[in-house]
Amino acid sequence: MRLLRELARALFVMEGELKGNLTPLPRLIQMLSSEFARECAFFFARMAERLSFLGDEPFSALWADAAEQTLKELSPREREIVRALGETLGRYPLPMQLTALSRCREYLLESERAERQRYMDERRLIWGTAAAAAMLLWIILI
Amino acid sequence: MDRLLQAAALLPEDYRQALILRGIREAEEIRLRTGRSPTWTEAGREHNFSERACREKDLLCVLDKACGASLHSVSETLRRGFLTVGGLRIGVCGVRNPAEGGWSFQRYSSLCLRLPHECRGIARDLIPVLRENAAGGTLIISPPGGGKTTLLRECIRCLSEGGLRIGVADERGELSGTENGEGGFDLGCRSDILIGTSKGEGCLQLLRCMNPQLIAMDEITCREDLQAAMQIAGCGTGILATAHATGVEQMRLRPLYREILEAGIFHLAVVISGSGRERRYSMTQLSS
Repeated sequence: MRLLRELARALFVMEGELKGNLTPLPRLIQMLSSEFARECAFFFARMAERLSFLGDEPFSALWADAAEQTLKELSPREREIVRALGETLGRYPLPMQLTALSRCREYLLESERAERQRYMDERRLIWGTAAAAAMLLWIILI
Repeated sequence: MDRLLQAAALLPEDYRQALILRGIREAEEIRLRTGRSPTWTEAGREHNFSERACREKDLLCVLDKACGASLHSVSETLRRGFLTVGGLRIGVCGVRNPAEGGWSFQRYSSLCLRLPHECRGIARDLIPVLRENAAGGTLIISPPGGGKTTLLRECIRCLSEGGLRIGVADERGELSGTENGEGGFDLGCRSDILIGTSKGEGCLQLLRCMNPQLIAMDEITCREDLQAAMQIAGCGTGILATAHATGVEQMRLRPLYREILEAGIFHLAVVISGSGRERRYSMTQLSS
């Protein structure tokens, strides 16, 4: 959940930097690798490391590789969404990049909300079962 | 950093190796054209450095490395057909993409990597005259690739070190050669450099904000540059600029340059002739 939240936050920063400063991706990735929580920073740090191969390998391949290597906590579908973002970044006109970032961020936030809901439901179920068991035990003891 | 190595670092691996293996130490340009062998230029002549013909993929590799796969960050200059990385100017040819205001390309067919040079001492004989003429305007003239920018850079450095406060309107980042605001060429200790705005806008901004004694800019090419030069000349600040021509007489053939000469903004012309290490600099008084 934390990774999803942090990734969404990083994508929000990326949107702002691209829109406001037209920041080149290598500088942006370098910046993000030092600004975010560990799990998320791993992804950007790995990406920053792989950027030395840029040109010999396309940006999208480096991004996909970094996502595969470091975002193992994500579900396959979430990882696929992040991976697909790399196909658009840096390559297409800015409005398209911003739209892709925004869609990816919304998907991640939606996933995070769903996961939180599932967690709450599970907790409620556990507490409910525990309370019922306790009550049953109490009745038996009486 | 050696500029040739800097340019080589942008090339695909096999081209980089080929360039290094040939032991090329000095080059003016590196050119890649799809379907042709890549070349390097020395004294205006092109020589192949690899047998393998370029593919569009090779050109994309260079562009990806040059802009960090971030075409959005160079869209403004790419619209004008080039991008700059650490003082290295990369000219681009191909098929323009009509979408998005035509800043990008659908297909890339040629790249020209122009290597900037720093030649200390080439302006030694000119500096006393330029300093004397600082309040007037000096125009450096040569055909494309003739060494105007290199001479201008050295003049800025020497005049700045000599005590003049110089504002540099460096539209393409070629004069200063900085990358992300770091490194680059030495333009002297009293130079204030403005990168990324048009020369016209940049000159006026320098004039308003930095109180320069001399404003330097590369290549007067359009009316906006001329108008900026006229404004500077009318404010008591000196101007040092360059223009494309083989000499003063040829300048008179182009309406814009004729206007420059008639306006009397420039009092002195430095004409560059010859090529490579055989360059000569001659001074002509334009008006007083």
